[in-house]
Amino acid sequence: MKVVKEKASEKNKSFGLKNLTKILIISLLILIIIPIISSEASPWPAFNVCCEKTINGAWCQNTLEKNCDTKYRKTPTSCESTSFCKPGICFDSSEGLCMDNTPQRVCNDANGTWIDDSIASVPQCNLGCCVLGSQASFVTLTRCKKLNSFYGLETDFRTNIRDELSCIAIAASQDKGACVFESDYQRTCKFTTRGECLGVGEKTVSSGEFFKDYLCSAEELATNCGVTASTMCVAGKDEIYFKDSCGNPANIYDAGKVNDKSYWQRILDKNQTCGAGNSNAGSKSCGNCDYFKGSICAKGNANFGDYVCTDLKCDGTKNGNNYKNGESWCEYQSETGEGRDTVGSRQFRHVCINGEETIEPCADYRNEVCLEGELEADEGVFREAACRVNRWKDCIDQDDEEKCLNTDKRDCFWLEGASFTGLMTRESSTSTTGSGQVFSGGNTPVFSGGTTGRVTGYGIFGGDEKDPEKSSGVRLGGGACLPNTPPGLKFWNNGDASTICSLGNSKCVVEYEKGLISNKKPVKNKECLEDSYAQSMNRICTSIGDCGAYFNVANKFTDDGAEWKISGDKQTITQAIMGGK
Amino acid sequence: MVKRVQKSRKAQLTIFIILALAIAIVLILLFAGTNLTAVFTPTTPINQIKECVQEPVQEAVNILRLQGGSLEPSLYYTYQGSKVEYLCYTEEYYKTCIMQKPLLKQAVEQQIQSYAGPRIKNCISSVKANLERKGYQVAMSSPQVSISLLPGNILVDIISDIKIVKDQTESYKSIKTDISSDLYEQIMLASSISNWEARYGNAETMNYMIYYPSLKVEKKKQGDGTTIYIITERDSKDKFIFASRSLVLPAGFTGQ
Repeated sequence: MKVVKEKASEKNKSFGLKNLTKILIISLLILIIIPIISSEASPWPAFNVCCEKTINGAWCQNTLEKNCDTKYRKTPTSCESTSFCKPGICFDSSEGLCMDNTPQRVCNDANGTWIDDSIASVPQCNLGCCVLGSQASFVTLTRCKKLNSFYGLETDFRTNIRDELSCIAIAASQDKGACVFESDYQRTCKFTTRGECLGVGEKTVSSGEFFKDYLCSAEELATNCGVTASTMCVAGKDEIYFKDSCGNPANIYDAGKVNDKSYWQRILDKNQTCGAGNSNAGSKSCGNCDYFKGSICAKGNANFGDYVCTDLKCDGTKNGNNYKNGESWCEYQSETGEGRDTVGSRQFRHVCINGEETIEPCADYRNEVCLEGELEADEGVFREAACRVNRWKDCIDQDDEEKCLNTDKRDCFWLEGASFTGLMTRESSTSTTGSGQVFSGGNTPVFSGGTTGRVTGYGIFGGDEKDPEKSSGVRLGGGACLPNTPPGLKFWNNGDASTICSLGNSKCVVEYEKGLISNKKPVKNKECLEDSYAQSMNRICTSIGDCGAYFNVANKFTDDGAEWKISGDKQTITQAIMGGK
Repeated sequence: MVKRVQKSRKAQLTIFIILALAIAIVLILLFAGTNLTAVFTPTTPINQIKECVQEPVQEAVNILRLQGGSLEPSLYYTYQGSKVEYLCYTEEYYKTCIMQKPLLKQAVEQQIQSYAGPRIKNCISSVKANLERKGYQVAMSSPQVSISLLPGNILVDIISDIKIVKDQTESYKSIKTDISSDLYEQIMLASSISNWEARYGNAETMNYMIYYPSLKVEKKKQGDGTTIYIITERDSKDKFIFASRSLVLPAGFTGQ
């Protein structure tokens, strides 16, 4: 028994050793083969080093070793892990700016101060409200000092203001009025804020005296600033203002009040002046412009002065419509949505701003889609558009309609009538006879085979050549989840376009029955012999990406991206068959 | 007698021609908007030195505006025939860009200085030689040119001990010249946009245009994921163009 046991243990040992050797050999093979396969299968560049500088002049890039400039350092790791290329904050102590994602080397070379921290943790980068006379800016303390030095003002930096809107509100709520002081033995005046008035006083012979809500032209102040018929625009303000003889702004321009002395005494609210609540665009007599109503002070011919409220609307845009200031809208070069975008097409966002229409292309290859919406406002509908990432990549993984149409996660649509079977073989035929039918979508008209009784494509289903009796790939019936806007592909390169397009390959096995005397008749999958089959398969192809037979952006139909065979015989793909997308 | 009459007629004709030419020149100058006082008033030595500044600085600015603030861009995208420097760049997909020019204002000042500095110095040498020919005694240390971008203008400071002697003596330690320009504002906006690209990957142009109505900001996305930004001053139409490559999505799965 013992001997037996020993023998058994020896047997076990030798079995274990054999197994271990096998495992080792298999592991080695896996270790050798997998990288080879993966490097061949995926053309994704394996960025393996951090170059301090690349040969094309870029600093601190994770890239291929061959791209590194040999005069600079490189390490076989990510730049984030290196000392010289670690990104951080670069503080510009002269301008008071904090620049994000800056490598240490780049910052030091530019004479900046590099800080290895996030922007929120760097005290120099903390933002506050910088009050600049009657205006304000939400900036760093250093920037605030710099801005004040430009305008000769005292630094007024408020750290308790935490957001930009509150900061702007502070500027608007400041006391404004006439600051009366003596200069060159004359009693003169500057229209400013209370805080700035004290600053004015320091620079003049006598200290400034502040008169809240008074205009410099007020007679009771007895200054040398008088009434004129001139007008002016004021920085940061929408309206046109009368200008007194000292160059100070007075009340909003109203042609009817040019000689009305009471109008030149105290500050009048915007709502108490001419044309309140309207844009007054183009008016020669009223300067009550309003940016949010679509007008702003600009040069032009008025009854008095050289300024008018210019219209900020965009009339007669490229699509023939009129848009309000700040509105944006989309332009599509072809039909869009539900996989209908044509090959080479792109989406654009148009913006109407300051009376001018600007066009912003969304990312190429339809990596971005343009989305638009409408807002109900007091003045009517307000249209807004944006270029947003096209989330198409996981559409074909969805086999459930609800998941497919979840717009929070992806941009897909559900197509009834065809479904993906993946790599799995759907059906096996036991028929003795068959008819071969092939539909192959792809960027190259390659066809990997087509014997009897099957429909197949190249690439992904190439292995099915060995088993011609099985249907595979896309099949008729069911539903498929497809990109709502198909991505553009570089189908002219030997990249992943063919892999993506091959997802649309389909092989359909048609079974026949033949009587003793009668001819053979299709009994199963006979619909695969009809044009509608090719049309359905092509619909899948063209929706996956720039695949299949379809129109391009120039509205030219091409069938290079699809091949349809029945029993090895190539079928003609006409626009009439495929065009019904 | 006949000969004398003919001679006097010829003389008269010459005088008329000279007068007509003089009137024509005055009229041309008037209609061309030339300041007559400037034409007939001799330029002071110091103004002659100041005149050396305008042209080279303007030339440098015109080049820099179209090339993202670099005279000879090394990392660039070719846009409409111009090499446009990347201020922020990444080769990778799905990653925000790495800042390439964190202190853009200082970099541009340095570029203007490297272009305009030698030209200004050459011009000053010519002015000195010219003044000496006119009988001035000019003593001058080697000038240092300093460029500062400020809101609304470019300040050019020529630092040199200058002494000009003729009927009177003029001494200067530095000569400052202001050139009206909106480059500072455009560069600050470009820095803000590239900072946004480095942090989030995609700047929204409309926000900038609402905050700064005098500036137009255009964003042109290119096929390789590069974004060209064009900042235009609405009145002067002066542009500043730069490139950025951030948060790029590949075509297909791999971009190949």
